Amino acid sequence: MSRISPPGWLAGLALTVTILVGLFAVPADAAQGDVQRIMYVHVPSAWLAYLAFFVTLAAGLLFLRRQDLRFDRVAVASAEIGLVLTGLTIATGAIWGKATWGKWWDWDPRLTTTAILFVIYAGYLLLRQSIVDRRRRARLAAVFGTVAFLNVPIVHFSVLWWRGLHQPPTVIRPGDPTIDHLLLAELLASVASFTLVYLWVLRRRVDLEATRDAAELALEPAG
Amino acid sequence: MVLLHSPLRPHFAVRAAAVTKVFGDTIALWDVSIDCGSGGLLAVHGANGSGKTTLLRIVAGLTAPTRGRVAWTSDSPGLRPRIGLLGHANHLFDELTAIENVALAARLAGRDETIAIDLLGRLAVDANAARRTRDLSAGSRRRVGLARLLATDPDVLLVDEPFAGLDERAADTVGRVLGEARDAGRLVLIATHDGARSRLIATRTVELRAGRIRTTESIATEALAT
Amino acid sequence: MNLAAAAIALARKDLLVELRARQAIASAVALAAVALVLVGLAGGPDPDRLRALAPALVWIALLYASIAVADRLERIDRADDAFSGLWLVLPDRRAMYLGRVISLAIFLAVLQLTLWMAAALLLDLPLAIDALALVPLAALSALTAATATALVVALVADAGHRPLLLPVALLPLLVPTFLAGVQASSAVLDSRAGDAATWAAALLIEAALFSGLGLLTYETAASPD
Repeated sequence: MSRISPPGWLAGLALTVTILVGLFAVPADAAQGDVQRIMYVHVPSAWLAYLAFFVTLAAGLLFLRRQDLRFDRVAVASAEIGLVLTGLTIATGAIWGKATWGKWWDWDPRLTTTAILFVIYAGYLLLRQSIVDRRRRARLAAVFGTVAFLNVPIVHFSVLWWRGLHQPPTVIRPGDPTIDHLLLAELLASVASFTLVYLWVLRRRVDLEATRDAAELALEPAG
Repeated sequence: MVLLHSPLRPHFAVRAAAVTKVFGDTIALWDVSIDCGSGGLLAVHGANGSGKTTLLRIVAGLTAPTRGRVAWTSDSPGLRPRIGLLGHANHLFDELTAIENVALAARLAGRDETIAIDLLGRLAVDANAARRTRDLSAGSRRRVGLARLLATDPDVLLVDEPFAGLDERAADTVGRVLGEARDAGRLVLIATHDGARSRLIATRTVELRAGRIRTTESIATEALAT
Repeated sequence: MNLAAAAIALARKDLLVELRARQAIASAVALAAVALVLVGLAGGPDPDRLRALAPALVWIALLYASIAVADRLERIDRADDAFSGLWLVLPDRRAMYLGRVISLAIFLAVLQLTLWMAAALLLDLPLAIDALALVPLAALSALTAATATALVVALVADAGHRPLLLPVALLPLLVPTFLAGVQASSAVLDSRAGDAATWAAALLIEAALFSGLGLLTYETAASPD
């Protein structure tokens, strides 16, 4: 079971290469210097976190429709990965903020939304833990996952408005059209390698959950 | 009688087929099959922990079986029965009076609330109608719970331990009311450990032991007391 | 009986039970009072600062109180398993969600107005005639909070560790409501009508989203099987 499959090697290799390229090969950002290199972790983490939570939503809805536990296994696996990535986004964002604004936390709207997302999905996993019956757990988690995800834009816009009323956002952010082409290419490459890692971990985590279910539902019909 | 009898009541039948229920590593029911139709009263006998309550909740649709299924049929195709349950609990709001509890249930079922006092009278708890149910004795609460159930005009009555905690007279009253419900063309399913009393009203009995059906016995309708 | 009538009958039951038992309001008021005093103490004795903090104070107190109220109302139905009785008798079970939204909203609105009065006394808020706008605002924000709370309470109703799980599952979802409520009431107190209207609109959007989700998912969320 502990053998790493070819896709796993591929994902690991892609991640290693993009990190090395990001750290050493790509030139430093003209305005921010070396610290900007954290972008190659920060931005893909954030994007993949949102993707992961979207997958949780979609898998949850599919479970409600088909009543097939396979979908729920994808939902929980993706939520856990999303939570880790959200944590990574917050941590790298804070480090980046400390280096550029001199503050670990500056209530940047995107980071604040991500932090709220973190606690919402921590709640999702805690809810799952406290429901014993397997199918019931899947059902309630799907409902909570739906409410949680549809709440994201509302969280984001309220934080944005709230910031807007206090002070305008001042930060230079990746995604700026003036960003250097080489930097952009590396950013896209790191998003791609993070995606590979996400898919590989998701696959492994789903398999693990399937094993657990097989043990837990030994008496139940397949499904 | 007008309260319990409705000549237009459709006929329903329930068939639970090969029902198994597992909670964690406990087997509550194993391969249990029962069936019953409107106008019949099936009594499920068994000691505490034999799986009676689980069976009633599965028939009510409140608990999903691990395996097997519960199917309802009707003489009017597509019609679903209105199912009422008096479970282990009485399904009452403690802070409401007996009459308020029964009237609320009637109202939510779309029935006239004024039947509440009549129903309490039939179950001989009308003297307590204006008292909050939390102040009533266990036996009175049980009967208010049954009145609440009847107030919703169910096609199917599922009653868990209808005689528990009742004195002789109250148990007789409850037995009579359940028998009337059966005669009025309702489907009645009771779970009890009081086999002697339930045999007076049951059209069929099954005995459940450790989650399995042991014996089934049919009782001739003529022998029934009403 | 139609959906609205059943919801109103159930909400009326909640209010009647609570008027007699007074458990939800008692615990909510006690909790809110403690929160108000604690945050007040933490904010320091500087009156200007406390006045600036007042909306946040009221809302933090309100959020904690709403957990107590919601939990208590749910237990009214769970004690003696009245829930199963309602579940079986109602042709449209969404009435249970709507009824809970109505009763929760009434409790939270009354509680919020009480808190504003307490804050006015304790923090010496200069309540001008404009502050009357806090009344409809309390009603709207209470409704918004109730639409989310009623659904989450149904989700965690028979989960393990319910007293811990309810705030963990509910409060993060209420962050936008909290933000909009605090900002709208600040704007009312500072006589910034435009800002108040914007945030009230945000509350309205949230109420629409949560009530829509609640009506769509309640039966799935609350189903006992």
